Amino acid sequence: MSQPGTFIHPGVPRIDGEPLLSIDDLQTYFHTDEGEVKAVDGVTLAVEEGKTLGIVGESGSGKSVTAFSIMRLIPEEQGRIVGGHITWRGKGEAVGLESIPIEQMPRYRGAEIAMIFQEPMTSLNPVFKCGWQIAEAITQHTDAGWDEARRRAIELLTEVGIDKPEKRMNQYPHELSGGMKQRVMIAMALACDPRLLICDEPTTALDVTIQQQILDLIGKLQRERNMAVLFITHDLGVVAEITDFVVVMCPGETLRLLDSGDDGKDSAGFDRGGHIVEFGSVTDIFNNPQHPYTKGLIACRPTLKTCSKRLPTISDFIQAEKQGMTLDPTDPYLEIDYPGRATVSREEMRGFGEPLIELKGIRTWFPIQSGIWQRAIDWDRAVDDVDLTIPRGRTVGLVGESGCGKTTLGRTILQLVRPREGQVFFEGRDLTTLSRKELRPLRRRLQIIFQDPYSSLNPRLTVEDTLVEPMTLHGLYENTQGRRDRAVWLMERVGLKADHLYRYPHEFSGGQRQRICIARTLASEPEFIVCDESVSALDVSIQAEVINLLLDLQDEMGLTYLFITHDLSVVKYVSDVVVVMSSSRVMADLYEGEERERIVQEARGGHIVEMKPPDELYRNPEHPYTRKLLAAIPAGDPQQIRRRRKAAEA
Amino acid sequence: MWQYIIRRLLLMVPTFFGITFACFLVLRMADVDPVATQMEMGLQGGQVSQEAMEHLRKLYHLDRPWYEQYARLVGRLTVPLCMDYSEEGISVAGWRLFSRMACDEGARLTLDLGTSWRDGRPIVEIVGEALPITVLLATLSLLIAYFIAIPLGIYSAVRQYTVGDQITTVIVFMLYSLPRFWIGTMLLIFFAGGHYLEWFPLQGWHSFEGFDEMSLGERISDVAWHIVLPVVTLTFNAFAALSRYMRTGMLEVIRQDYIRTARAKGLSEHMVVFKHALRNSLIPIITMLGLLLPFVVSGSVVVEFIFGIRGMGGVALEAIRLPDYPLVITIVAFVSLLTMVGILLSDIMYGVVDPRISYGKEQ
Repeated sequence: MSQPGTFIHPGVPRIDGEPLLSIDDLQTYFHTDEGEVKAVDGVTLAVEEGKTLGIVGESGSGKSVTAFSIMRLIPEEQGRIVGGHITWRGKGEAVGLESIPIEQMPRYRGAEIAMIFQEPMTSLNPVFKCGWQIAEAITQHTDAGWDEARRRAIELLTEVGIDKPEKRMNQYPHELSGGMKQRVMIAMALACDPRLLICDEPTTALDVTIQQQILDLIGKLQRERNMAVLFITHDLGVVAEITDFVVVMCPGETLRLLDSGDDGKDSAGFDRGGHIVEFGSVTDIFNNPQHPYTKGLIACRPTLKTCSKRLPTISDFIQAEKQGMTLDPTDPYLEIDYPGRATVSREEMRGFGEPLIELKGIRTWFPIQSGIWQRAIDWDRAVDDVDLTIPRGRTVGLVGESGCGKTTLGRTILQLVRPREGQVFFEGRDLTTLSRKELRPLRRRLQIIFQDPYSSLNPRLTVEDTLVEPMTLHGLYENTQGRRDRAVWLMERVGLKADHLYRYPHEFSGGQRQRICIARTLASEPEFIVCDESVSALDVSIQAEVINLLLDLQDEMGLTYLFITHDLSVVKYVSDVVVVMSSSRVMADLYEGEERERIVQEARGGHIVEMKPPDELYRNPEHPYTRKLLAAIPAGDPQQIRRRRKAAEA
Repeated sequence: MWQYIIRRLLLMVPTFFGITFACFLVLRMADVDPVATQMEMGLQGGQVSQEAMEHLRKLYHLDRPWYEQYARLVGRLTVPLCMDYSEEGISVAGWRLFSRMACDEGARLTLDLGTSWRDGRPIVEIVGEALPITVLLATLSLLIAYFIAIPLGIYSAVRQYTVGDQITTVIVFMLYSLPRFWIGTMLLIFFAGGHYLEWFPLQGWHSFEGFDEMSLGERISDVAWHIVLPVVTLTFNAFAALSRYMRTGMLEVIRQDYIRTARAKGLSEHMVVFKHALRNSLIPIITMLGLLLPFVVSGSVVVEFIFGIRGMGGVALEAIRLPDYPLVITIVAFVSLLTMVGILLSDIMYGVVDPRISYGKEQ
């Protein structure tokens, strides 16, 4: 495979020849109330016929905006392309997509360039049948009538690996699972044999095993149809699975530190929006990253090999670069000190390792009601017979795919949902027998951090109000002044400033908001915290910072965590014990014949299939479901990728 | 689906009793003696003997305890539908209707709601005269409101913040804030009063003279001519509110991911808006239908007053003044039934437009 561009200087590829798509010095700016935001600032790249190019970067790096610029999908009132060229050679002659009237774009969209999006849940129109939506794309660009279009749609559904395509044609999007919806999206994108498929984070919202299937599917279709693919993701591990060449994009803001002069003033060069900092083959990027941003991006995502006590972050690498040091991002033992790192260890705390929470035979079933009198005709067995002990000061990692009951289990422990059967012991007291009133004083000690920092903070409360409220509720500290002082302490502890206290949640970034959520949780001085996908929605470097913070707090305060996540690498890194949850429905596909019959008959809801210390679990997974999960983890290791890809092609 | 509808219909029963009871309670608490008021209104200052008034009170059961009064009033509304007066004894309502209509030639289905205290006329008759015109006014104005509001809302949303949108916004808010009685009066002055134009009649919903001799077609055109101004007056506010809802709904939908998908598919902007966005943005405004119905009915009080139309509004006003307990309760019952059915209908339509809504369908 030839390289679609060569370096002029690091980070800027030059365009040679006449590639299918070439983007030259693209600038896309957004107009906001605060002025112009340079979302994409001088991006140059090329996609060759039948090749796959990956774009990697964090949110705000302009990678999605680059894709939307190609399709001209940015609403005019929000932003526009202010400079550069997008040259498309779909049918021989070159078309400048950036300058043609917007009314002409439908000719290219869907027909020559197709796109799939991040959120399969919301990307299909909920009021139209799946088949109709695919057929519509066909009739739009070809002379085919509806019957012909329907027939082709069924073929496409078969091609993207959907079983019973005739049935799916007549189903509405909400009747399909997330993975199936993404397959329908792909079928729709392929409807008119596009020359280029743009994939904007197509697997981010999916479970790890489904992600693997979708990646395999895109790879297969790309080879079979000799289609070019532009693959956008924030996950280096994922991009390594599917592409050969990668550009790394970075928001200019991140490099402020690097570019600022010795006198502390910003140099002229940093004031740049999202742009490309590095370009190369996947192997090169992984084995020999040049730019500190790329190094940080590789290092901050924990892999199965990571052994560092704390995760390095992108700013660590930029700092190091500035001071003229070189850090090896692939070193699994890399330890970097930072202010605020815990100086004590949880092992020294009183009662460490003693059972704090014990679950006995927990069954949380939700009734499925029907009929005029709304009688329960069946049960949704979210959690079905779980026994688990959580020792004080330790982290129990809970993994599983959507619908395995992991979130319900977390909420059952906190008695946010009451189980139908079983006991939850907290320091020997059975929480299930307590009334709401009796539970209230215990709530102080049992807390939760949610996934979405955007919706879990009340937008009408200042940060101070948010932090003081739980203290007032539980009567902590004598007076308001004492609580305010504590709020200041909490803010500083989670790495924010005291003067941020008077701001409202919308003034913060996602990572900062999650820090506020953590501070709020700590305000009531809990002993046990359920982290329900608490780091899943964050960018990798922010994720590393928040994980470090959680680990520091655990060491300092002897906290006990139940760490719920679908990310198998993160859970291995943070946990002392890993619990894998699944249900009969999810697992039925793993078996064949009589065994399968038995599993289907059993119809057991979410339960624990395997529970081991992380090293042992990952080295020696016993349960077939665990093995399947582990096999689906994106490698993030060039050698492993090459091996896996050969196997896929064979 | 059927189970859902049956359940909702069953739930209407307690709601119905709740509403009528609350209404009865409020009337009672107002502590106005209907007999005395009636006498005053009827005799214009003359005298009535105490015995006559007592007699009337007895006749109206006003001497009975409150619960018996309520039971008698509401009993009127429910009993004729549930019980059989004939010699065969009590049977199921539906069966009775059927059997009586089928077997007993002479008998016809009568709905006995009692008589008005004011003039002793059967309530069925009073309501029967007043209800059709009110329903006609309400339905027409709602239909027109929807027909104008939907395209206008779409226009404002698609052209958000353009001059066209700004102008529509200003006009719509102006219309919305103008009181009905003012609009009605202005319309009368300018289009019916004879000072400026005399396009429409001043009063009533049909011609007083010669209406009975007209053929059906003539009658329809006569009524249509009469109700133009009332319907316009009644349409204003509903239409203004609806177009704003439509605009907001459309703006909400146009930002959704699936609209981006539709564009990425290569659909023209026209197709994106009218095929992919429209159906989704209709969902919230359909629910409005059930909620708007009672407002339009109550709004017709003012309109009927201005245009001299004797509809439910006028009847209700007179009945409350007395207070004519049986008539008031009947009207309240009618309006609440109308509202409940309206809400149920909009919920059912919600399920028709939005496939994600299912009413207790089992997987």
